[in-house]
Amino acid sequence: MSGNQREADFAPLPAPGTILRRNPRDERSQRRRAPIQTHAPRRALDEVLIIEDAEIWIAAFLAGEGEGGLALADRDLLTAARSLAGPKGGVLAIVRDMPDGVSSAKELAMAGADRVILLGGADTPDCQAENIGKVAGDFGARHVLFTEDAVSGDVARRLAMRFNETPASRVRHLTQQAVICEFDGGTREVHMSPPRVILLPPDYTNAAAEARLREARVVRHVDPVQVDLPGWSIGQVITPPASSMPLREADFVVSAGAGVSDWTRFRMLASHLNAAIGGSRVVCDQGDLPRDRQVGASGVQVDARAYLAFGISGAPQHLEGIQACQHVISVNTDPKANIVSRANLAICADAQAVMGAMIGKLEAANG
Amino acid sequence: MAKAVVLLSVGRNPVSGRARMARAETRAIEMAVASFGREDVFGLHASPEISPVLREYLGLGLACIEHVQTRPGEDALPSLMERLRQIGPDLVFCGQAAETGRASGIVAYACADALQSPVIANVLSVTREGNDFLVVQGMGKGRHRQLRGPSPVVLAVDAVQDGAPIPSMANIRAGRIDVTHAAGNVAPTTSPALDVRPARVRPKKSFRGTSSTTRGSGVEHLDPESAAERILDYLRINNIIQ
Repeated sequence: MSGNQREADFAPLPAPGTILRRNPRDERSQRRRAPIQTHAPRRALDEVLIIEDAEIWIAAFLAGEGEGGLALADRDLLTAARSLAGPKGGVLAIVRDMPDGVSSAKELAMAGADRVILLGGADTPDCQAENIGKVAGDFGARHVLFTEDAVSGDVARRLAMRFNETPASRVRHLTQQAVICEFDGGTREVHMSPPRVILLPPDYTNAAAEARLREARVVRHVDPVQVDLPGWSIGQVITPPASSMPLREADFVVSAGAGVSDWTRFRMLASHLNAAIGGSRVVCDQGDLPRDRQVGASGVQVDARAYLAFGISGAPQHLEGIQACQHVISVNTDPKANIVSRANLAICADAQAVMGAMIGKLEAANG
Repeated sequence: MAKAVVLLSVGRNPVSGRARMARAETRAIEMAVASFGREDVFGLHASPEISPVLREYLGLGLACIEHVQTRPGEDALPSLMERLRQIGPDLVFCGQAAETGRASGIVAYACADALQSPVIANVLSVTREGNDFLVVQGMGKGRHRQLRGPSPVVLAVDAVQDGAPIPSMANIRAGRIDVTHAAGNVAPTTSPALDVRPARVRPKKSFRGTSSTTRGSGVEHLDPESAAERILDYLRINNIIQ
């Protein structure tokens, strides 16, 4: 028996006169491969993944208005929270109120929310920060994620003050172990362990969203704390007409290039659509539009959701100015123009005729 | 007599990296001087040494800047807060976020915490109406709202992108910089050592068109009427117009 064991333990000696060689290919095929870690086998989207006791909770504050479902920024924030939580973690979506009933509950579930928390209380940032802090405390949330914009940023910093820490802002990269933030305006970066409050800029890139349906169980957060600004009265939020808005703040921009010749029609269309007016360098050089309306590398970087371009060929300098636009529509007579490859909807037609037809349809729709 | 303090920092030109007046703080000085007058506004700055940029701030109409001298490597915030508590100003103006360092934008909230006063972020303009102040606050995407209330309050002023104000030489000569040393009763806290490295190029979110990248293949050839219909449908489906 002992002889047998010895034979199994040691490889047989080579016959005298042969050279001992390794066969790497053979060794490789012998080596057993470690199974790839797949935390969730891909199943159909109608099967709901339920997490009862999460290892860690990651909260995300969704400030979006919720008109027409989940805002893009909120969806991105949930994706970031989801990848931070990992397979055994849970994501809390903190919303002010449920935006659109059933459809958005489904959207939150698709975006990776395990729990949806309806934040009660007043609309003031102090009050929201207090209540988010309470929610984070109740769940023991390790991090609270915010979009780095005017409204959420305010709430986030107030929350960070309550946690007595400096939030991570202008984040470039985020993992459970480390967060990398911009330093000195982006020329350098600072590596640190992630604080509780993290602000993700709107242009933060995410890993692909997981294709799983989560539970999105609605938890009504009872007993909201009221905090108000003593002695201060707060007015209504005013949305100015697009015509009086600076170009970089506009949400919808109608833009003209060298292909536009009928400027009355162009302005009329912009006012019908309630869109800000922009233009390419050519039209600003010609004096058809003022210089502050120039879109592109040497003009304004547009941050609009939608960009409707008439008669613009799409020089690289111009396309640089519309990097942040989610929807680009181009109307151009040249089907081989540069902008076609950037556009979500590219139409080959004469700009003047299309503008006229659009005005006609909008006037008919408005009565 | 009502007093206003503008917290000043040294900005940084995003392209050249040279020190400059921080854009948000120049806005803050303009607002403060417009609503309080030159004599009742003064600047407050804490750092180990005086930067030549501080003199430029004088040129925007400040009569006096107080420079709180801190030890090198010391966190400036505690001594700044201590000095603010001593002054007890009605209004504190500061920039929304610094142009150097981590720029976390927490200073305004720390001030408010120290003075036990409310803080308003993203301030676009301030006007004085008797004892109250009318503040216009930006809410992003061009939206804004008005707030009206009494002092004391801390205002975090939003930076404007276009055009830096030009400091006047006469004002620079007329103004003065007073140097004080960090208050003795504040235990000096060293700012934590940060792991700062050169920036790497990291991916940013980019949108790509859905029409094909092959030239000319994703284009829809339509007559004007159906093109208009197609565009309006696209805008309505994506909730851009109602």
